[in-house]
Amino acid sequence: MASKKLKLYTGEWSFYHFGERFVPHGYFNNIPIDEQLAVLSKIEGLEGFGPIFPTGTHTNDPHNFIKLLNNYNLKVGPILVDHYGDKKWRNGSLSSCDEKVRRECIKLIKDAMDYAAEIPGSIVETWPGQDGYDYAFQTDYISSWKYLVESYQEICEHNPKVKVAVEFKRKEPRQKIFICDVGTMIMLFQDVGMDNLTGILDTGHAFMSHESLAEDIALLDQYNKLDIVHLNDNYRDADPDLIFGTCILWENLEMLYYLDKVNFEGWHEIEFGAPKEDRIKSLRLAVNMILKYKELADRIAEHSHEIDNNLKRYHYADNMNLISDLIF
Amino acid sequence: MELKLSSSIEAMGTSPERDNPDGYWDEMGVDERLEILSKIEGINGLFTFYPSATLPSDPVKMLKKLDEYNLKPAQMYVDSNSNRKWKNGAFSTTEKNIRRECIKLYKEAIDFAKEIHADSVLLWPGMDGLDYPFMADPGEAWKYLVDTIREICEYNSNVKIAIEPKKDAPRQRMYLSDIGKLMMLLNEIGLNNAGGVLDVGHVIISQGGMAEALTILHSHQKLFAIHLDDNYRNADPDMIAGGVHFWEFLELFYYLNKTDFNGYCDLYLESPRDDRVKSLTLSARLALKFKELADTLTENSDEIDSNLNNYRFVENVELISELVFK
Repeated sequence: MASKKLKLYTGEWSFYHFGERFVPHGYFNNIPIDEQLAVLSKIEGLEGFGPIFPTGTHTNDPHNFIKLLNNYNLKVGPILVDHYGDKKWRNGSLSSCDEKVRRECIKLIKDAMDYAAEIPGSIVETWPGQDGYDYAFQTDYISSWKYLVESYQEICEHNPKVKVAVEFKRKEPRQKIFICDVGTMIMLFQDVGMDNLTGILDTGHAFMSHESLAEDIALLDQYNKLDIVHLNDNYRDADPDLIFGTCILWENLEMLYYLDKVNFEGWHEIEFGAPKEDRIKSLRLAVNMILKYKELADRIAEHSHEIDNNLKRYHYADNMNLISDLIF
Repeated sequence: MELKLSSSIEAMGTSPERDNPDGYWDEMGVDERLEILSKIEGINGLFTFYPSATLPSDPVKMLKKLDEYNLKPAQMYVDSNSNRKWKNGAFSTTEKNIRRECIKLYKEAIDFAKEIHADSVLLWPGMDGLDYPFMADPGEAWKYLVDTIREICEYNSNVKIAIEPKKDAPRQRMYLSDIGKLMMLLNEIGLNNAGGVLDVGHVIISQGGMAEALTILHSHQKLFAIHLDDNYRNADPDMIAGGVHFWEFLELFYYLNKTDFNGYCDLYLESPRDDRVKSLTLSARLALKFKELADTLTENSDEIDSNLNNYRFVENVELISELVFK
């Protein structure tokens, strides 16, 4: 069976100046949006561009945005809501004990859903990264979780036809983030109980949580809650958004094998931070690495009967011999 | 909240280590260990094992033995881990005959637990996990895990089954790895007698927050038992609770008060080198100390909770420090 083509997209974040802690203004200047889109349109395999709402380009008019992307033969990718990058969210957004702050965040995400409703098939991304805590005795966990669930319920009820995706992360910017792993995210889905609430698997966040990517995919797929995958890499102890596949091989390969197995048809985001390296070269490398891993995964998928048989009988060594012979 | 402490006689075992399998101590007799437990202030529950290698296999005789030492049956751990037949998992294995054997073991254990009025049956799927990519099918494993545990819980709705998550060891990745997955499992099972164990050491190695974990289980009415132990966040050597962490244990006890937890807190201890009796006694003493400090905090809970709700962290630390330090 021929495997599906990956739907790859990126966004304005690929062209940031990537400020660091010790060099807050980064090493590069900003690139104008038309120049960004011209670059993207020339990278083979890349087909989408995701806006940041409401701070990105043309987020006041979805039709103008579609028109702009059409000029560069690009589709609209998932719409990322910025409910973390402002001082007003410092104690959390959707889980904040401050009702005014929660109302403001709920309104922002509803506005993003209205914007998404004008773009067929688009999806809204949320990342409650400020919703967490740093110390013992700093946060009321009981109220916070209740507010988080209630906020997502209200958001999802606003327009059940627009999907709202949630992204988990263990830590950063908070030392502990409430939606910290795939189990807690699925628990959120169960508590909220809305069909249009769905999941994002950010591979770097999963590595940082010492999770297994393929296991996460298997679980999210069973709940029909996997809509977006963010592809990046790290050394398992932080989330620097390194270029996909440059640190970890086996688990990234197994992930692509399982994405094919569960017939995943959603968007794959290229998420990387290139603070020092040439951004355009880095982006091209990221796309090439993804396509290479996909090629390897397709090759081993041709032997899925044998591989899956080994899985069921716990013949691990046989699997590794087979796969190594196929890819090296 | 009344603090109910329990321990097993294994806390005074030989604690074998990888490089010294015979441990550093000689075996103590069963009655000697029960006698010691009965004299440690704060401990009134006995954590038992099924099947038990040391205590009577007849439930009536076991109860009589506990009565002799004025101990009540606390949690009863079912051993579905320490036999080579469980090597691919007891609950999630693709081998149907192994899963059936596991279910049979638990049903017998549940009958026994009912006879001795155990507080709950402890279920820890410690062999259910994997070690490498491409080693097992995690989606299929999860389905078997849920189905097997559901059948066990359905056997007798009057007996509580307390399920314990852990991130790793002995498997490199356990399927039931954290509180989120535990809640996911409990929600899928959907039975009132299926609940969770908060093993504090396991929460710490998962980089979790113990008070947060407690409130999650409590708010879903799923907190059945607590295991108190400590570590340095990178492994689970079952050290004395509070011997490494202070603030998080204090917060845990504050929330135990707040949620009025009435189950057992087991002193889950390995003491390979230090004097076993002294270590266990210290463990009970520290638990009582944390409870005493938490009670002082609870008397000031209006101010503490107001600080929480208004993100006044500095004020909370100043207040709590004043209350707990002489």
